[in-house]
Amino acid sequence: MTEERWSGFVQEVAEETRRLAELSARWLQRPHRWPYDAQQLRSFQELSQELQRVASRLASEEIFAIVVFMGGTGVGKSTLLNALAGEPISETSSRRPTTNVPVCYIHQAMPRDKLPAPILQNVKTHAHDALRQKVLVDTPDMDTTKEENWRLLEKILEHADIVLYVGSPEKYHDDLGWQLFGKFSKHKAFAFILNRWDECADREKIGKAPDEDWLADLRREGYTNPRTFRTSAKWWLEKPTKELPQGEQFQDFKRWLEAELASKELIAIHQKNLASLLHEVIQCGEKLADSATLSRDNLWRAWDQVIREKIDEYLARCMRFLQERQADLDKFVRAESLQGIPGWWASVSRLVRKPALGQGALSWFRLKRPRPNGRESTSTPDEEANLSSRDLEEKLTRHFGEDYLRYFGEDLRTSLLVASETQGLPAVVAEAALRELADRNWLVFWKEQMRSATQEALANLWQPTGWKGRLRNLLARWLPGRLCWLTGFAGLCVLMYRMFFAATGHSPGLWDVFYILLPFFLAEWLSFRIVWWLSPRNGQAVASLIRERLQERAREHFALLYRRVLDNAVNQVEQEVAELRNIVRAAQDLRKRIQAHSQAVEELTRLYAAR
Amino acid sequence: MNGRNTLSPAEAAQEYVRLLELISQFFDKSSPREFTREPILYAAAVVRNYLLRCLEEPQSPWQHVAVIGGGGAGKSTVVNILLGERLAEANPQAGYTRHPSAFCEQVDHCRHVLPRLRPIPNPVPADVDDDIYDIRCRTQGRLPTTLIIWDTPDVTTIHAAHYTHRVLEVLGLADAVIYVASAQRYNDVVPSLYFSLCRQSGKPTIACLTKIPERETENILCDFQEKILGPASAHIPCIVIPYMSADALCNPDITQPYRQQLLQALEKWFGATEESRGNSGLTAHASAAPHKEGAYGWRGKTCRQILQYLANSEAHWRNLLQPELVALQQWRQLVQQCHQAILQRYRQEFLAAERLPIFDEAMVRLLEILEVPIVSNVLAILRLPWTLLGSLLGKARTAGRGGPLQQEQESLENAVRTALGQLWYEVQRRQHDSAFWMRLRQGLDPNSRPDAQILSLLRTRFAAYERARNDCIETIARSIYADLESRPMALNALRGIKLSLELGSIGGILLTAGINVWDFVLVPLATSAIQAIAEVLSQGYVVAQREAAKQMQWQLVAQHVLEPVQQAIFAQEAIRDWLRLEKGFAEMARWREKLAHGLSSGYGV
Repeated sequence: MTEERWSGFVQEVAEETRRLAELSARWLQRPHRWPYDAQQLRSFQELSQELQRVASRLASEEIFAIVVFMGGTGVGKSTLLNALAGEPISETSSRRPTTNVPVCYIHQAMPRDKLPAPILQNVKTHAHDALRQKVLVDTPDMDTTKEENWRLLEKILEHADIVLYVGSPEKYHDDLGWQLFGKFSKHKAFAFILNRWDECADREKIGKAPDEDWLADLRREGYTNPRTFRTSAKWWLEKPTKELPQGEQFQDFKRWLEAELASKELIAIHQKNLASLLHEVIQCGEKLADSATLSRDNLWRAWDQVIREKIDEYLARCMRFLQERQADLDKFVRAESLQGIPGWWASVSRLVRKPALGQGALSWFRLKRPRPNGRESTSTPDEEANLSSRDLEEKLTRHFGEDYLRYFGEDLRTSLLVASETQGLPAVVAEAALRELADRNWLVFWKEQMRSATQEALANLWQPTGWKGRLRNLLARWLPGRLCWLTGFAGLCVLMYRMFFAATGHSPGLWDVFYILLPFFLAEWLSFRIVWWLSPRNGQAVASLIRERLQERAREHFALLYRRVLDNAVNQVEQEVAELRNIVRAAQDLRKRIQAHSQAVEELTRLYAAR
Repeated sequence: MNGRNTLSPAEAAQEYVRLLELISQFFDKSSPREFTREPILYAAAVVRNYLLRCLEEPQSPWQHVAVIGGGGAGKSTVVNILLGERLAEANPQAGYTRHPSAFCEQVDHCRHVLPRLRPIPNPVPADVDDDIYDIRCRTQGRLPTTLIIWDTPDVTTIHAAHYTHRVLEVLGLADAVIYVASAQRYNDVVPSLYFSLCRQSGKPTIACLTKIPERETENILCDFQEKILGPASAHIPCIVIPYMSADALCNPDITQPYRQQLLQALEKWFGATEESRGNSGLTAHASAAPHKEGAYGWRGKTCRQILQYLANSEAHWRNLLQPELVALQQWRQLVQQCHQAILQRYRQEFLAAERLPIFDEAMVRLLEILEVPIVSNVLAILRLPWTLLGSLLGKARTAGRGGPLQQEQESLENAVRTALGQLWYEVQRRQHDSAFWMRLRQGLDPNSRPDAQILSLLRTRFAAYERARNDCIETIARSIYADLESRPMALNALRGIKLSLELGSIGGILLTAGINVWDFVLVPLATSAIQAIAEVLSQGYVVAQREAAKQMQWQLVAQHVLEPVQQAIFAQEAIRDWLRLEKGFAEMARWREKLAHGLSSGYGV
């Protein structure tokens, strides 16, 4: 790639980078459902800001690189810059720290508006064309008691393209500098200068020499063949009579900076920096996205199980409640059974067996009491049809509901939270989803369900499905009424026969009436007993019917409700993660494009850690 | 309370050190320039290595001098200068020395001075990276026998994080500290921190500037005094060693003046003893500074300053850890709320519906004993209307009022289960608030939550509680009639009142209405009415007792079952350190005072 094509490179990549930066910034700003790791989010944010910076850098017309000197106080950063410039650009002294304001050394033709603000505090211009494309920045230290300097340096390093890590025999691997190096070496080019080389030369040899030791440290960080220079900047500035120590490389360094780092190399560095940055963005984004993976099916299975368990638990309690009122229920059912039977034996029984929960014996006097089984019930309003069952419902719902269902919602919610967590859905996400159901009054729901289940169970008393029930209904409709009237009619016929045909002169007496009434009563009684025998007699059936109905309804209802809640929550998380994955994909595409275009500049791999 | 008071000063110091070590664990390096941990570790080392030593042996003749500084500043060189011989391994690799070395006349002199580091009685290469200190014997008797010089590793290089604690151990031990700073390093933040720790805690310090270019001496010295020493510069001797070649540094003749200066400065602190004057050949003027507080008065003074330093720092550490303590308090409140919620739910779900049938039996018994034995059989016939009516009413009253739907234990378990779930949620919600919640959250990982243990604790506790409850309720129920039975006077009086009322009413009816048919109606009515009044009254009494029993049961559950459960929930293994911390902060000042008391008796103050 030549300099002319620089603008092409910009147009291709700068726009993409800007878009990526915007996308990631927008993603970071949106409210997150998922509780991402704060540390990871922070580094993603830093990367996003870095992308923003790189994008604005690439928008420049001209190729240039910001070369930053970094190192502890007293290692000779300013002296190095002065030696490079050949004149005192930056103040040097024995007072620590010396440089408190970064010195920016740029070519006079360099447009300043493209340079980041932090480095532009103390600008010195020059006319060396060899340094035309390089912005040299001398920085404050990082290791003195002056903490502002550290922060300033950190800010400047964010804008650097190439960092020159300057060390001295005393300070080549101080922890503070190493931390900065570790932080920025991921996507910035690093070269290493061991200044004050003259101080090393006349030392005795125990342990490793500083340069060897430094190389070993760098190897551990992945720099197998780092670009290092041993310099003695002071010598070049003062040119003393003393001879130059052996192995001094300041001239090499100068040549490297001025000549070897040409446009081609600078472009390659920009590309490689951006590619490394994108690599980090991809890794960080993937880590974030991977942390928020969910299995919807597993989650639902867990939730469904919890819902079923809770419903069953509460229904078991409900059953116990009904069992304790078994006697009442039995009475009620028996009384109800009588209601369906016509004939006066049944009426007498109704009088004797006071319905425990119904409105009592008085109901007998309501002659036109509708039968709940037959077609007649359609002609009367439902309210009246269920007068007595209403009372049962009322008792069940009021007592059971208010006393025992109070904690249903809370129990269910808590169990769902716990279940979600074991399936990898953080409770905070589940809670946010469940919050919309929190205000719901489960008591009302259960009361309604209890009522309708009771109604159904009672109605079922009269419309049974088994042979016994059918037979009972059939007999109840036919036997008591028709059989009685039939026997009565037969008796009358016998009486008539005897009056007119069998024994003439026999006048009808009181006994004859007895002949008619006795079979009539007997038939009535017999048919009542038969129907009665076939009728449902204990409340057990009602109770289990209520339970079945309730279970069915509640399961259906809650499954629907909570499935929606869960889907909502999972959808939101998935959408958020999908957006993140889109960013990662875009970064991958961009990285591939850069790598396809970038040129293999063998020499430059020395400026980066091997990965 | 007793245990606390009987703590000896040495034990108090041990406790203090343990607490400081615990505090130090709460601080991770969140940024490279954050140094919260070092002062705490230093304080622990000072108490352990210095104050405890002074406590055991107030008149210890040994004077430990630690030489500290940044990497490559020339600590080993200064040690060699001081010793007057090349015993320390000075070398060009920054951060070469990895463990402290003691230089003394005989190995026995400093065998047991650093409990945390293993003594090695012979020289070990300085780059051995282990928790040891090696003892090297001086060959030339150029220093006072009592003087022990310590060479330490650096505190600045990338490996220093592994061994700063070794430096801090020596720093804690030292009677005096020589701070070595080079022209490059004199304003470095990390060595300065260590230096200022020594000064703040009142240890005698000597600054030693090395590698100073001749021309810049004045300049650098002023800058150093202004930026690092500040107002204290008048009290701290500064010795300047100019930049010299390695050969020159090895030549004792060239370095002799610096050695003299260093020794003088040391002597100013310690006061000259006979021995030191004889051996070091110093002039006698140093001995002209007799100390008011006896031969080792300087040590007592240092102890006092150290204690003052600790007292000042305590508040600072407490402030730093305030969020953690607040979090612990919040957790305590949360658990307390959870406890209340369980109790509330238990009351509503179980206790409200509990009938306690034993009280119905007690009621029957109470009515029985109120009867006069033979007369009551006659009266029972007369009371027939009430008996009939009462049985009907009783049925109506109890109908539809079943017992609780859950067993007591089951109800408690359900309540606890839900409360725990909510508690875990609260913990998760707060996990990013502070380290406390994060740790608690980790301890309460969904797969390792203590629900099962807590429920099993509940069950074991419940068995014990059940016995206590049965006894208690039985006692209350029995007391309904047993109280009367045990006091025949009162019982007979009541019986008498009732009987006389009944007989009186019968007599009254017979007298007023005469003997006629109406008597068959009126007499049973009157006796029934009196019986009804008696029953209503005793019913009221029994109901009150039943409520009292329920209240008692509630309290028993809270005390015997739920309190241990609450304790088990609260005292999670994960937050043990926080509990220790809270307790430690409460005791800290007391421990320090105990130690101060012990020390003051040692130095006669």
